Amino acid sequence: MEWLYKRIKQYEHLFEKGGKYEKLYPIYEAALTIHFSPTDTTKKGTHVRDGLDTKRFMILVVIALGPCLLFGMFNAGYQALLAAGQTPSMIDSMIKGVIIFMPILLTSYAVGGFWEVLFAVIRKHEINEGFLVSGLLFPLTLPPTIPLWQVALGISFGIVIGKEIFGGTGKNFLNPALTARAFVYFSYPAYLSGEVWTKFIGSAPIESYSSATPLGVAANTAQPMNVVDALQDAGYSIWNCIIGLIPGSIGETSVICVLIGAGLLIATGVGSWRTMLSAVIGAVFMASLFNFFASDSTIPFLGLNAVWHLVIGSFAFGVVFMATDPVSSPDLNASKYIYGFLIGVLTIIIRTINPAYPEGIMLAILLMNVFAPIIDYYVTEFKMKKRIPNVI
Amino acid sequence: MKNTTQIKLKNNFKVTFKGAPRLDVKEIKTSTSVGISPLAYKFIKAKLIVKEGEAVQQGQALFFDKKEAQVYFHSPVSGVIKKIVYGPQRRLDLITIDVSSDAALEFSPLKIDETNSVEFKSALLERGLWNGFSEFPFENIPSPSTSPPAIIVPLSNSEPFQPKLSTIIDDVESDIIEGLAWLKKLSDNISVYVDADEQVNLDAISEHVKITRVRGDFAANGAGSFLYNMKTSAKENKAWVCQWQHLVKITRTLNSGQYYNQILTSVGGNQMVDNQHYRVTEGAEISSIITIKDVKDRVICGGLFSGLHIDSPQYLPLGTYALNIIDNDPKTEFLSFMQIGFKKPSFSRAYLSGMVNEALINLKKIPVQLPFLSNIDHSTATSSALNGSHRDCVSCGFCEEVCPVDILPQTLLRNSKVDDVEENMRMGLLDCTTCGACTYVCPSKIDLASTFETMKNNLYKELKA
Repeated sequence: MEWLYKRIKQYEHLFEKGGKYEKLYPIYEAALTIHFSPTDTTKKGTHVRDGLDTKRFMILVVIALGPCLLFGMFNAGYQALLAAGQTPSMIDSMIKGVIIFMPILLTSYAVGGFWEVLFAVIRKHEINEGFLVSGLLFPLTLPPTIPLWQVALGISFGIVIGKEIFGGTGKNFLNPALTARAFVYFSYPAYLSGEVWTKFIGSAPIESYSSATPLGVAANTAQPMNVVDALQDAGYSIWNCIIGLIPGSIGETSVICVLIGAGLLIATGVGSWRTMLSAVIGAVFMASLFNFFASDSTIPFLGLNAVWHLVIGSFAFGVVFMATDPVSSPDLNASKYIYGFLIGVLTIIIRTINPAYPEGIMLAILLMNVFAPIIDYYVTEFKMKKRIPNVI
Repeated sequence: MKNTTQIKLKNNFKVTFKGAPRLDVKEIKTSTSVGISPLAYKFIKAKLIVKEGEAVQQGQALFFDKKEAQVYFHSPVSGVIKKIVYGPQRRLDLITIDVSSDAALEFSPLKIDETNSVEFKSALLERGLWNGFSEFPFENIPSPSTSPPAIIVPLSNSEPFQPKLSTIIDDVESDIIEGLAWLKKLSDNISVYVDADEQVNLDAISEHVKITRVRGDFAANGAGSFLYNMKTSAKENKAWVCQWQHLVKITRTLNSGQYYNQILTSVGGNQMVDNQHYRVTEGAEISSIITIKDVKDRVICGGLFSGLHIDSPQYLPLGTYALNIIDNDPKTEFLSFMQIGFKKPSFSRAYLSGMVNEALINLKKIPVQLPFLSNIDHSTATSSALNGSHRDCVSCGFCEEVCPVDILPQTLLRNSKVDDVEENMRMGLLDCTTCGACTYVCPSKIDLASTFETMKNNLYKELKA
């Protein structure tokens, strides 16, 4: 492959400063370095450098998302066929899923990529590979019925307002994928709640099919019904919520797939186990606290136990892939415990006692993104107290 | 070993680079040419007192520091000054001397019992031995008018790759013991430490002085992080460091009356086949020690992390004790970020090498030797490759995990962008030992250590201005 590299390098002068296509340097750089590792050497400071770069860092997240992506497509197709009264086969479901999901994914990458490149060219910074992650995360959080123009609007908002106006990856304080999701959610609420979780073939599903999600069922349960009974009546058990062959956002339904991704992120050190663990602890803590106060006079959702809370909705997906985004998380390892814990607590509070929002993880993470610097500030101050001052 | 304590330091990582030097030592006779280069000394402004063509004797002063007029640098050999090379802004880069005779300048020998601390200090200054001390936090040569709150003597250096005391311990043991006794004339507080994993017999030394065994890998067992972990008050922030090689030089010079000019140097790095230790003259010509096969290779004077950046150096600069030769012409790799990466050097576990190597090292340490393990080579090749492209900080937090002095490099970096030196100092900038561990691990390829070093250097210059 060396010959190809040399061949491409011959044209580098055209893109360098003073060259004919100087302005397009970020595109050239991205196209070259995505295929061939750069041969730059250290010029000052430490002579040797670690083999890890941000490309590897980000590509591991994409790989970790693989199971969720594949299963999500399969499930989207599966639910669609199920709603049409067919007995879905593996292959049919997958084909149908690809047909449903690919336009969403491609729209996200194409429109998001356009903004990323535009900003890179005008602001003269490199095209950052973090976009590969945001551009994939966002569609996975959407319902399969989402209109493509909303995908385009959402990712535009996420990339431009969530990231680029602050200077690009590394300088954003909100998770771009969640910013995009929140934009769509608040702008077009009708498209992200209610009967949107299954793409129907034709205008309506067969009568026996219900596209109500476990969260929807739990939130709508009224006294004197018990929430677990209501869930079971709707056909949900803990086990099928874990497997994920249920209606929901495209990539978020399967806890097993999320756990595979989490395993890879933790094993490679790319995702913070501190955030994940403390978020789970936070959610268990808050759910148990609500269970303690649940009675006949409260809403039944308060009585749902912690295990159910962990497996329904997007909690698992959000905690593993969204909350661990290093840029919008706090910097310090110690802060990540606090950050994760509060995400867990807030998620349960929002999804349980705020009837306006059936799910809380998106808002909990965005809110904690905003608070991340202040957590860092106090943790740093605490650490500083232990230092012996060294000033002049 | 008697009289030892052990401390465990955190925030470090295993270095598994190829090319560690073997432990045997080869004597190299003084080459015909010697070069004196003060590039390893920060902040000095050399003022020459010799000219090209002038004859000098071993032990005769060549130049002094304009800012500290008492701090002289002496010639390690007798001969004729051939060439004086200046760098940018008339910085003295090199003095080459053609070696002509063995005759050395004679000083009167000193006896430790009959010498008081004032006489000791003036003897160090007079014989060009003062420049071997370095003062924290700026790692400058201390002013002779100051007294050290503590002197740290490291008996090991685990930065890859530096010479090991164990190779010549039998020869220099008594000199180190005596040297430590000499140092007591400068300060009551002498701290001697050694890496706990270092295979060296220090029984005799430990009878005379307490030795701290430091358990922890690079970069936790550098002198700066030792100071950070051991200091009890802000007073010790200005502690001095004296390397064991300099201690030997002090003892031998004072005892014999002749300037001692031999140093132990190691040759490492994966571009050399025959890595070992050498005993050479200070400022020896590098070609008299090794033959560099590939002109494209990078010759580093010093360790792989903190070594000097000099384009094709000819002579070993003063104050550096190691040569490391690494590949400076890295080849591109197709889709390298998709590799499993068993041979990729990495602190993180994002490549398999990072995951497997630590486990292998730990397995090899257990007393029961598993035969198949010894055949597994876990070392990774090194080159000067950046291994990626420059990006903005993504707050991955690796730098925090490797910093031996617990500063929060990513926060300091942010402060440095707005030039907030005060805040950085409060957060421990001056504890930074510029070991380079944070720069090494950064996936965005940000040169954190150099940024901090520049900030520290500017502070020093402001102070002295």
